[in-house]
Amino acid sequence: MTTAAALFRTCPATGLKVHLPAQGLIKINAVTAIVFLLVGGIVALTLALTRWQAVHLLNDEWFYRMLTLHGIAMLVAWIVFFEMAVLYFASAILLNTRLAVPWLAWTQYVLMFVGAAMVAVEILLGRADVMFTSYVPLQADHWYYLGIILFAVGAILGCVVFFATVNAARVEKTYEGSIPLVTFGAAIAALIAIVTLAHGAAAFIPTWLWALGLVPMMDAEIYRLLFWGFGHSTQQINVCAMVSIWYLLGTLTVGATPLNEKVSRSAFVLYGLFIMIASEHHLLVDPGLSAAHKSWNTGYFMHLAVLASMIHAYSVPAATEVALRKQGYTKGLFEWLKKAPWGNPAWSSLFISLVGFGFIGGITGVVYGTEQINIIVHNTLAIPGHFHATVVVGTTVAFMGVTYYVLPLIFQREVAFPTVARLQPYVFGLSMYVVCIGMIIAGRFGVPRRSWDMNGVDGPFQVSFDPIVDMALAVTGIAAVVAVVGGAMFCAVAVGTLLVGKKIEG
Amino acid sequence: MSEFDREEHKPKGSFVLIMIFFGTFALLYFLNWKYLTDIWKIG
Amino acid sequence: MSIYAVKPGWWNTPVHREEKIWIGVALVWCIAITLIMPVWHVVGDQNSSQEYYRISGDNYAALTDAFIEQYKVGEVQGIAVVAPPPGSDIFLRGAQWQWDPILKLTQGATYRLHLGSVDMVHAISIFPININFEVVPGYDYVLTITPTSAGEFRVICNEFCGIGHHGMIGKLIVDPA
Repeated sequence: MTTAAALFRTCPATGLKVHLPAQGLIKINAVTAIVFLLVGGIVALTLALTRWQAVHLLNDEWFYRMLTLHGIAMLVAWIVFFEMAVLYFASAILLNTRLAVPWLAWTQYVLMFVGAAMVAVEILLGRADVMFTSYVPLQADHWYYLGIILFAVGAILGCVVFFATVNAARVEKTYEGSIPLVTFGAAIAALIAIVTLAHGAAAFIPTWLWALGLVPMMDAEIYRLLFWGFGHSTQQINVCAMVSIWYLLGTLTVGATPLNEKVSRSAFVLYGLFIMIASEHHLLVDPGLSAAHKSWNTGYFMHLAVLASMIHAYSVPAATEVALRKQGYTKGLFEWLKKAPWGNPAWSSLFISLVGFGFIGGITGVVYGTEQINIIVHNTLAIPGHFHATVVVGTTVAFMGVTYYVLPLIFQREVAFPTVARLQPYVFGLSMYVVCIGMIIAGRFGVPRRSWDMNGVDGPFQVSFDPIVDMALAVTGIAAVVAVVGGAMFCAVAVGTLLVGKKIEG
Repeated sequence: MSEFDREEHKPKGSFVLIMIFFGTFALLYFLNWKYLTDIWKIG
Repeated sequence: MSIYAVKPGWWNTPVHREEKIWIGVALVWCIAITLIMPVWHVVGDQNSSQEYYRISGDNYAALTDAFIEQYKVGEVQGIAVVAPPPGSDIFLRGAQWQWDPILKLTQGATYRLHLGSVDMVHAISIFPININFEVVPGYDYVLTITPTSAGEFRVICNEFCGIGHHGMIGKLIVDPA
């Protein structure tokens, strides 16, 4: 067994056994994710400066092209590559085991990278001006759809490797009792991912064949149904992965123990059972579904998946509170909060993510997903306001926070530019709060999403909005610029650590 | 075996925070229903 | 510790009081906000319609053309203005990148508004009232609608439908009762 033992090292800080092939895969997936984050961030800057009507940077064609690229680079590439790193971490590292079938994991990486690169190139060449949603009858070049299919197949393989690793740990008895909560949450995320990616296949394979001219076009409404089974459920994977990261960050930053394993795990099971059906809230003001169907499905089966989020919303901060109180911060209601390690970027990321996801993203999600209320927000700028609060303020900030631990643990380097790192969650997270709220306010006044110009300069009639809208969009534009700076700070710290960070022996 | 047999270890602050969250949630929820009733009749 | 395996017996750890209260409150809330949706279909005046028919783009265009011919009262910017009587079936057609016709309605009267597309997926936003519905090719989506305020409104397309999407702006007029 000497060869097998040589494949492991022990982390001096946490005592976790680190499987070196797993470490390599976590590294490459995380680095690729951050590269796409950088691309998406630069694109975001051009978009914000275009929607801010006073600046109006891009022309119409490039605005829609960049908007398509932004969706793919961020929602798909940055997040799913990072989730692959999370899955390998939560299985091989947290279970003290080897990553099962590393060659399959490398296939995952290659397929996803080739797929994402194909999609990005197609968009930049102007052959896929169809937005992230690519609603038929809009048609992109067939290579675009093939790229998405390859990416999705790669992601499925990553989930397979995850489950194979958990099973290997179980069979080889590398842990005692039940798997850690973080691994459990990741397992639910991986299960949701498999169902989600199956919907992606159902939407994109026929569309690819149609683009090749082999089959007739799918019904536009059925495409919307299948697409959102993929498009929204991908975001439910993010929610599940993000909540797992919250628990992980609670433990890493202040040594929190979940209040009650039964409650937290049951909440994850509720996600697994009910969150998928909620995707149909995209069709609330569409023809094709009955009201009963809409109420039932968008009610997430009596909002039981919302209940899960509400449970985590208490149990995550409460766990950190108990941990901090046990460290002696017991005065009054909030001494623990005042004395919390706000200078630790992982802790500030955790709280900014938790509060922003809950108060902005979560509340608006449930409200806008209500069957009737959807009538006054559908396709307005309030919708991007909602999902930037979930995917950026929630998921992205949480992923950034955990990166500050991944760097020393997996890359074995001390975090470079500690002052920049300390400020980064505030600069990025809080400016994103403003971006989201600005978009929500503008949407309330009927500003459409995905529009290069909202005043009708190219149309037969002009549209003039309430002056509040101009202000909201200007504030959104300025805050978005600050957020891009915050994102660049994150990339600088991550890349700087890899290049000049002090090596940690271990 | 309770996690916090000692009173001062109870997560009282988080309970206040979650109630503030719930209040905000309910407020925004009903505010949006109010906005909905301002539009035309649709069925 | 959420990163370490847990010992057998974790299922039997009792849930503390505050957490129980919160789960109870959250569960009641979740059930209540689910029930409001079906209840609003009975007591509320704003609901998404369940009435739709499958129709080809050509047939939808023919229905719209016949409707325009029947009630046309003028033309603005090359787009027909139609003034249908209260209670009638009225048609709005989405096409890259124009809404037509311009509907002239009466405040307080009820109409059966047909929404359809002859090419891409579009969506209407009646501005500034902020009523939003998806317009999907292959479907005739019927909303029973009663304008309760008068004035001149815009019909903004708010689903991306190609590069000229932002120019797809129509007009809707509601005369006071």
